[in-house]
Amino acid sequence: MAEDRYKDIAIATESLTKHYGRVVAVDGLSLAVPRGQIFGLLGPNGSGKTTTMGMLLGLVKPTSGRFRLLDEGVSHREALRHTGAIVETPCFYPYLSGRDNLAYFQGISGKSNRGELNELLEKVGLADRANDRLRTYSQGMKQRLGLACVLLGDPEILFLDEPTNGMDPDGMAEIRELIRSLGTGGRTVLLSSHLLHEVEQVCDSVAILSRGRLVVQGRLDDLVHSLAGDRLRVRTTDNEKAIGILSELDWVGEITVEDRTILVAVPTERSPELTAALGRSDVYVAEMSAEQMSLEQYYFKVTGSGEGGTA
Amino acid sequence: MIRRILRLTRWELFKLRRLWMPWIILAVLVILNQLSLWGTYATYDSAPVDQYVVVSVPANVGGEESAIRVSCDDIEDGTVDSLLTDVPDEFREQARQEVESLRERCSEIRDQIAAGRQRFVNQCILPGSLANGLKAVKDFVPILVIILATSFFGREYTLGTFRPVMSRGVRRWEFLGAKALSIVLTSGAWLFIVSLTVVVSSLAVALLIGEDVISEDAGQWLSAAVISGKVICVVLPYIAVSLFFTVLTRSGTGGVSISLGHFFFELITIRPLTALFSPNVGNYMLAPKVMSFLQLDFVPPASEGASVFASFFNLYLNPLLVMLAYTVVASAAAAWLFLRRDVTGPRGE
Repeated sequence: MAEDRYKDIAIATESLTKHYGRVVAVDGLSLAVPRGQIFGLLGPNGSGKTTTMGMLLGLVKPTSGRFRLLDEGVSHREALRHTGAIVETPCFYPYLSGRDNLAYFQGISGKSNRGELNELLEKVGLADRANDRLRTYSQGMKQRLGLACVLLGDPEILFLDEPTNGMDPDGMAEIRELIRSLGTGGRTVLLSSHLLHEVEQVCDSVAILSRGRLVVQGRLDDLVHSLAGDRLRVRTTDNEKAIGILSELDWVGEITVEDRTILVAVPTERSPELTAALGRSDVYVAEMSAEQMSLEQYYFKVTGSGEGGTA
Repeated sequence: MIRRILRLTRWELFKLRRLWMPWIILAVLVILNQLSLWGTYATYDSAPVDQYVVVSVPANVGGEESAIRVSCDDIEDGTVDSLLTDVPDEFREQARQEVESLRERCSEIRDQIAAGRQRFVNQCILPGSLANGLKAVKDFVPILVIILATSFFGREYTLGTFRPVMSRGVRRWEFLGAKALSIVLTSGAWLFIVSLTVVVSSLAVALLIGEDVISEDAGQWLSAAVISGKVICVVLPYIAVSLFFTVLTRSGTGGVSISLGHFFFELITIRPLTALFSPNVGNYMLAPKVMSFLQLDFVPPASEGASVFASFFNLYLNPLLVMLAYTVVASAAAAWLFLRRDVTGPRGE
């Protein structure tokens, strides 16, 4: 993996595979997570997201394939020292306080900085409860502490698996904002989430997995537009007449009607010509926009799964 | 590498001292040895040390049959004659003979009493009290160490905390080593605190009976040190075995059940197995070897008809080799399994 194309890649996998007996959890996964981006890992339950994270973190032994974190030549163990991770649920010691839990994880990394602990506890809104035992924390508070824990030592790569799990809507919005801010300054965030709108709001790029295989990966905008970019949503003063005019134009593709709107398969850059053609026949455009596809719609389209709010 | 293990050990101790388990075990050990020491004191204190031995002769005092109690002190003080005035004439000669026979035994009685006091001093005054206090708890140490090791390591499986630890770049075998070392150090701390409480209690006993705070039997210091060393030796194979069973079952509950089951199974089956198969069966079993090793006196007695080497081998080297073998094999097996398996999330129990 010494090629130049990996220069700006923080996490790279090559044909990464994991079998559990006959079950193939991850199948030949080749991922490239660009440095300094928030990268969403999407897929239904059992698609191999957590197993992939586990392999990258050295928790799960790959059956075959290779991967690297950070730069070529940096050992995996050394890379992990610059990594913070929550996998599935944040796991802590319930008999220790929130602060002691953080102090422990800071200590085993060979660092000791009380100021950093205070700063992180403040950042995730746990400063007031820092000295309470963890067993008194709610699930949302544990998530927050988990985020504080992954930020210990200012890591270069963050692995966040369902980071807003168990949080109330206010907390989720707050943590989304925090994650968004974490993706700045060259830090790479690999975010796995079931909440597609959450991923859509914070991620720069995504990869979609299904049954352990990579379905697609790329910049979020590019992916969504790749399927939605060539359709215009048009409302006119006379839709029936407009359909007749448009169907005679050879550069216009499929035309469908949805309620009182015409969906026209046409490159968006030809919208002025389309407006002019209609105008020449005294049909005027009341409203026109490029069709927007949400990540959710895109996700269901590429995975072929049913509709719902979560992946 | 060693520095990293020591650093991890420090943080394992940080967690360990915030758990109830080690403190409860320490309390059990302290109570056991204090009961032993103060029980000995209570027995000694209630013994009739001032009157030594009492003899009775028939007497007729005030028209009723009675007895006169004469002690060695009375004989030495010369007050015995006045005591005999109440004895009827026909019994006086018999009484004198009994008193005389007591007089002849007084020296022996005094020696016995002195020996009893010396035994008491050996058990309750430093340094003998230290050796005695450690002897009182040594047999419980394997069981308590099994409970601590399985609970402390198994908790990581229950809570799923291997994940955040390993994902911070901590090597698995270093973590396993730090766990084992922290349990060894905790066992050492238990011994130290138990010894400290013995020292304090011994000083209190010395003040109560007006004895010197340290007796002249300096050899007991060595005896106490040897018992401590033996206890630490015994701790090692049981930590290794406990960790192996915990890793094998990926559960603290499973680990403690199998480890304790193994301990008692060996103790219970040693006799039938020896009878059924071979007298040498016991040479390969951990619990019988450990228990006999803990009972050994410091100086190996040369058994009749056997060479000193054979005696030494049977008494010391064989148990040490068995413990070493169990420590090495169980540690290696635990490490192999732990390194090989995937780290999973919380298992709960």
